[in-house]
This record gives sequence, C-alpha cells and structure tokens, in this order.
Amino acid sequence: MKLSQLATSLSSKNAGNFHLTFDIVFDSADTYRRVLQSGALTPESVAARYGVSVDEVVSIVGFDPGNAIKVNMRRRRPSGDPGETDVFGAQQYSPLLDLEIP
Amino acid sequence: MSHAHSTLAQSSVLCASGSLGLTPFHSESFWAGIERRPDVVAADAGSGDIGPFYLGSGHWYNLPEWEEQDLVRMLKGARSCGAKMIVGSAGGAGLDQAVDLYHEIIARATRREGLGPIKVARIYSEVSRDWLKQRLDRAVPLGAPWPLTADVVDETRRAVAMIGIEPYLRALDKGADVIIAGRSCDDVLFAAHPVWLGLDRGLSLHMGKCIECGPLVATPPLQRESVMGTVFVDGFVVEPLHPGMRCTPASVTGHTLYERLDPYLQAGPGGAVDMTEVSYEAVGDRAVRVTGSTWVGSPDYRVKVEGAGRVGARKVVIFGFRDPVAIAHIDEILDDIRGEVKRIVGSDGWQLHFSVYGRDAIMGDRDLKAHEIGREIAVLAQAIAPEASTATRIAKLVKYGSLRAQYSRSGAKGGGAALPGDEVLTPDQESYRWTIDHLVTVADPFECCRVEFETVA
Repeated sequence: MKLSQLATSLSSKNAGNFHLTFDIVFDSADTYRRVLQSGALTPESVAARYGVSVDEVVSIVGFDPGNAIKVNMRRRRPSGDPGETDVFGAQQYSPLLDLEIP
Repeated sequence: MSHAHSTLAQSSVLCASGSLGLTPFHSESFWAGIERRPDVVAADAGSGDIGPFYLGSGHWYNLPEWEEQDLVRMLKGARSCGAKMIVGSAGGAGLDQAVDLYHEIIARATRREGLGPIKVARIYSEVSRDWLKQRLDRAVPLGAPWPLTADVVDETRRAVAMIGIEPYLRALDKGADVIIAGRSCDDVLFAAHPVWLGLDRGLSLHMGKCIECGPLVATPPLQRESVMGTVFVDGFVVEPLHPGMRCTPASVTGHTLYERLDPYLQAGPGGAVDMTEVSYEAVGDRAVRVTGSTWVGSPDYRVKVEGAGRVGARKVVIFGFRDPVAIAHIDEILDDIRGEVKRIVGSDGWQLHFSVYGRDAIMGDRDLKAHEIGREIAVLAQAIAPEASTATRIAKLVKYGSLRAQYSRSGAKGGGAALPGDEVLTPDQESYRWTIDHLVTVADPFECCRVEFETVA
C-alpha cells in the first residue's frame, strides 16, 4: 500500500532555518508499527525519492506516543535565501505520498 | 497587587494568540479564558519561520493596528483579573525596537484606559557585532553549516540571542506586572510563572511548548482562538477555550512533532526537557493531562543566536506560457534571457533566479517528476543586486526578453509571454539571508540580554 493510504496526515515544515521535518501520523499503533517495522522508510529510500545524497536525510524517528514517524532532512538552502519558493517548507512532502509499504 | 495562589501549587497560563499581531486573535474564547482568572496572559510574537528579512532589515512584520489591537486586548484582560502579561519575541524578529514599540503601545493604553499603575519589565536580546566578535571561540554551528567568523559577523546586519527563562524570572522577582521581551525561546515565556512559583521546570517548559502556537494543540485547530495550560505539581493540563475545539492525546502529541527535529528532547539554554517518559492522557473529552517531562540541566549555558545579512535589492517579473512549444523550450528561453542580461550588465555582481511554476518551482532539483509539466507554466524571475538600479535593469531585460522569446526552432510560430502587466514588480522585501545560526556559550543568562524596569502610571 502507498504511504498516503496508510497515514492520516503527512506534512512538512521547517525545523529551524536549515532543516525540514516531515511528520507522518497514523491512526493506530498497529499501522504505525507496521510501517516502522516494514523497512520501507529508511534514509536511503527517502533520499532516493528526492534525488539527494543519503547524508541529507538527517534522521528518521519513531514517536510512539503519537503513532507518528518523523523524517528529518536538510533544506536545499537556508530559508529565505535568494530564489526561495517555499519559505516555510510546507510543500516538500509529496514524494513520500506514494512510497510503497509492503 | 498580590496573587494568593502559591498555596495551591498551580499556575494557569492563557495563551491569547498563537502569533501575536499577525492577524487579530478572536475575543470570545479569549474572554472565556479571562473568566477563569488565569495567573498569566501570554503570547509569543515571533518566529524564525518568517525568514531572514525582518531580522536583518528591521522592517516591521505585522500591521501596526493589529499589533496594537492584540496587545491592548491582552492588557485589558490581564488587568481585569490580576494576571501577569507576558509577551516574547516582540515584533516577529524580537528586535530591541519592537520591545520599545510594544512598551509604547502598552504605556499609551494604560494611561488612556486608567489601567495603571503597572510595572513593566523590558528585556532586550539583540546582540551587537562587537559582542559576537568577542565570542567567536565560544560559538559552534547549530543549523548553519559554517563556523562563526569575523567575516560572517561583518556580513550580519542584525542578530539576536534566543534568551532562556532566567530574565523572565528576574522580572517576576522584581514585581513586574507586564513583561515585554525580545527574541526568546518560545516555551520560556509561558513557563516563567510556573517555574517562578517553584513548579517543575520540565513540566512547565513542556506546557509552554504545547500552548505557544495556540490552536495548533487542539482539534480542529480553529485559527486565532485562545488555549489554556495549567501546571500542577505532578503534571500539566492543556485545553482550548473555544467550545467547538478540544484537546485530545492525538492533537497534543501531533503538536509535539511540530517544527522540531526531535520529539523526545527539547534543548534550550542551560539544559533540555526530556520527554522520553511522557504520558498523554485524556481528561474528559476536551482536555489532556501530560506527565513525566523532566528538565536535565547542562554544565554550559548556551544560547542560540540568529543573525541575518543583506544580499541586495530585489526586483521581480512574473510571466507565463500556455503554448506547448514554448513550454517544451522553456530552458532555452531562460538561457537566452540570461545570456542577454550578461551581455548588457556583465557577468558578475548580480543574481537572477528563475522559478518555473508548473514544473519544479517548489522543489527545484529535488523534484524527480519535473518532466510532468502542465498545460501552463509561470516563471517567477527574481533579480538581486547590491544596488536597486542594477536589479531594475536586469528585471527590465527579463521582461523584454520574455516578450521576444525565440522558441520557434521546430517550425511552429511562437508568441511572447503572457505578463500580468508591463511592469517590473518592486517588493518591499529586499533579499536577505541567514548568516548566523549558532550556539554561543555565555557565563550567565544575562550576558546576552538586559532587563529594564519602568512604572507606568
């Protein structure tokens, strides 16, 4: 199934001026654990969907109390730099939507 | 004026607005909160989210009338129930000038409405270039991937330290009724009073983080509504004041994820809030009780410093294409335009950014589906140069070049771009960039700020 079908919400936002954080929230602990344990969401798989080096994916964190997975990535450039088109980092999550989860 | 609640060992904090002055907060839920006679009426007025321009340039962020409306409403509410009023990161960027502006607004309203006398504490947290240059060896990069050097400081127009809780505690110690602060960590202005009463720092700071964005901790997150956080000896409770909203464990944990890299650890000056053992439990159907947050102190006191520097003046042209041949050849069109700019203006000393909406404007080279172009594209062209005259020349060449675009190599007849108007747009915002995003170790919390007191009659 695609990640967008399993998650109740999937969003992105700046975490500070140099990083993006993606929050993938599920409606049950079971679904959350399934995705976390599927091995589908890794720094390598995320980097591949954005065409970036794996070093740009800073961390992937499972947040048990919220049934949520957080993916952290460096921004392309600092927020508000010349040529900025997404100063809040709010529209960077689409490549994760159709990530296949076994 | 005295507060007879220390025996009850609790502190209630009404967050009037998730972002003071941005747009006016709604009054019904605010006054519903005031009816509960909170100990504090507070709001965070700033964020790094807004980009480097406001910090670097000193340009006002919010509309003056909305800034005043929110502040005066908070002041009246606080005075009506004997609550402290606390505002942090004044003006968006937290500059000294905004602390002074807020003070002026508060003082005027106090006199006009007969709300005095009130004791006002002003906390200033701008740091100068000299201050930074004296501390280069005590600075480490936080978000910025470069070290803090004298050159980086020279490129910086303005910088602020994100102060911790101690300056607020001093203000409360000295009997302040109203605290107006420059750039601050967003949790400390809500945590100050509970901590001052002796309640747990970890719980208080976590509560502050929960309510500082206002409605985002509740569901649905109706905009501009007030929320309340109450710290007890062994936990804290958050709840919204609007009857159509509620806090649930999911809404509170959802907000714990917001805008941070680590949902288990919140670092701040002097330590961190450890949230690995936190429980979130529903209280009734619209409040949540949180327990288990603990403060872990660190030996060093480090403040985050934000700094921004000017890149140049900015002129903008927007043009679009609907012709599929033009769209297919957009890179050649833009290369031709850039070539013409180089020919006329020279190769150096300017930047020209083309963002192609409908292709990859939003994600740039991270958009692996950029080839799936739509029927229509728009190009946002931003010309940046130290002098406005150069930026204007470049923008005019872009505008002209878009109208005379050559893309009929395949034999099809081509037309010029669609422009909303024959104009170069001049945004108020010049181009700035973040220069400083570093942690600086200080000997004590007051090395990077100053606190002043004034009684307004």
